Amino acid sequence: MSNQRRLPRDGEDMNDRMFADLKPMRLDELTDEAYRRRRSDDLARAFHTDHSLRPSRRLSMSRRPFLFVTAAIGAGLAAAAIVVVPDMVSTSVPGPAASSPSSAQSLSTRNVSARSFLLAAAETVAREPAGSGSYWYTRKRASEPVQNAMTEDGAEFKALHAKFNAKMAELKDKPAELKAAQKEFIDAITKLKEEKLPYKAVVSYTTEHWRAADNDAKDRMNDNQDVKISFATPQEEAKWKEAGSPMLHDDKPETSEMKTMMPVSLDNPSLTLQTVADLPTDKEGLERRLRSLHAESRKKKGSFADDYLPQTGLDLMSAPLTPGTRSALFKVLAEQPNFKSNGQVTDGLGRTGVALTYQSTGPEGKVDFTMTFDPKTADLLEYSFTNVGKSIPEWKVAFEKMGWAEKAGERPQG
Amino acid sequence: MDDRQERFTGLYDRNYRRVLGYALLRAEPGVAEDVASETFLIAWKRLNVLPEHPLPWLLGVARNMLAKQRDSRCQRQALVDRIAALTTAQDHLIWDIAEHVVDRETALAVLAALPEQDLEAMALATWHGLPPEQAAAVMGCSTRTYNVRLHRARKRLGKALHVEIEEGTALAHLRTTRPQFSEET
Repeated sequence: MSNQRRLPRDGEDMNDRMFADLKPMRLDELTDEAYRRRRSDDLARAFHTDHSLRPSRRLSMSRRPFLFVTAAIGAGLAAAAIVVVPDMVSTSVPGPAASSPSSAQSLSTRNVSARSFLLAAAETVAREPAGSGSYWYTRKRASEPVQNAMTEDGAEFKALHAKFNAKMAELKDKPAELKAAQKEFIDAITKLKEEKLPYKAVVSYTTEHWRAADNDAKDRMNDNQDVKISFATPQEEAKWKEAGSPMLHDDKPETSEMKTMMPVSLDNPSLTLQTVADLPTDKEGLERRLRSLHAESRKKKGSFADDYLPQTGLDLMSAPLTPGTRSALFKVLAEQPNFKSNGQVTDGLGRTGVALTYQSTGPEGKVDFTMTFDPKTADLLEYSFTNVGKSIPEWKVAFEKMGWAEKAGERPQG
Repeated sequence: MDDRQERFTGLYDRNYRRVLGYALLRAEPGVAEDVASETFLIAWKRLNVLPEHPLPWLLGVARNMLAKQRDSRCQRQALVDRIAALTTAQDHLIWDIAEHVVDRETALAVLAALPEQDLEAMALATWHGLPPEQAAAVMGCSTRTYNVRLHRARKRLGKALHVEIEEGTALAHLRTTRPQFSEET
């Protein structure tokens, strides 16, 4: 028996052993208990869920640049909330601008409803030709409020640490007080790591993703590129400087390659790069399929319209759908009365688009989900989630490019 | 039960606890259990194309799902905070038996000061036993980046503990005032 401390023979071994021993025993109890409690339901749920997965193959789909449509929009649709700049909307839409359809300027000031816009978009995308490729490529610029500073680089952290070290020396002969000081330090550091910033900052970064259509091929991701921090006002930036200008986001780009085989929609595990091409191409068929997917999704307890469709619709908008399915999706969205138009907007990349907002009630209250579309091609330019009453979106993503590529690392043409 | 169901049941039985354990260190139990269940539902759909070693893939799916949870139940929780929330008297007892060079609170205090990504890198290596290439797949980074994080975590941990040991007569004193349970064999 020995009361002597083990001294490290090898620093890494000691650190790893120590870290390993920090794993709480309660974790195993919790996982055992949950395993027993949930196993039957989880297995039953899986066994009752369709598991069809088509063999991998080269995929094809339709994408092409702008096609000016002459869709026939019902005369009764141009009402209610206002959308501006539907260049793709039929020249048969009644209204003052219809008298001079050749003028781009006059088209850009025409007002129609969200429903009209979505139906016109359905017509536009239905006419696009097929494309194909081996990798589905997306390049997007994400922006989100910085929640926490990278604490260990901040002045407050350094001050806490210095104070703690001083206290350690001071209390070396007072074990009870030393223990209390350690706990105080852990609490303070944890609070610092988790606490909200006293100023508002937004981080933006670019992600490129090549998703392999072949199950045996690797995805590639170039992530965290071109990181930029911005402040709403000079006063906010001054507060950040007062706090010691802590680093707010890792600024190193990362590249990874791996077989992820992730579904295109986390709420719909059966929707993969392969299976989205098989979705129905008519509105009724697609809605039936989506309602069926909703019934087996983790959002089945929430409503189809409020809890399921916005996120799934978004996931599909940025996936390689066939022209028919994309068109049907616009028609399904057009049936949702909660979609309102914000009119003409400029997205985070400075592009002009038409924004449609769907308000739903989430766990934290009302949330505005906004999708911005290119008025000529109906391409999704940007989407965002904003808590009602807040000026900065919780999450905003601008799509710079999406389409098929032949190789990972190569960008689509055009 | 057909072959497919049998395979899935085996996958679930072998990995559920590890997936939930991973999620529990990032989210409160209700969310963590939902994430684990959804992870396995996705695995059921992808059963025929799962990698030979499915755990990294499962943890990667769970990690992705946790990252996409944007409601109030999923506010950032520091790993050390989750460890503290789950710690019981039994953990202190085991720590004492192991006779580490510092006590548990000190080790946690050192860990608290590390970046969360570095802590995750250590957890994947030591708690989940994943080799670098698999741990990197979970974290969505290159093996090189993962190795840098792991190395940095070990280095910072080692440096911090070294300082504690060098200066830590206080800690030594604290340790020797605590009851010892260890029997050296």
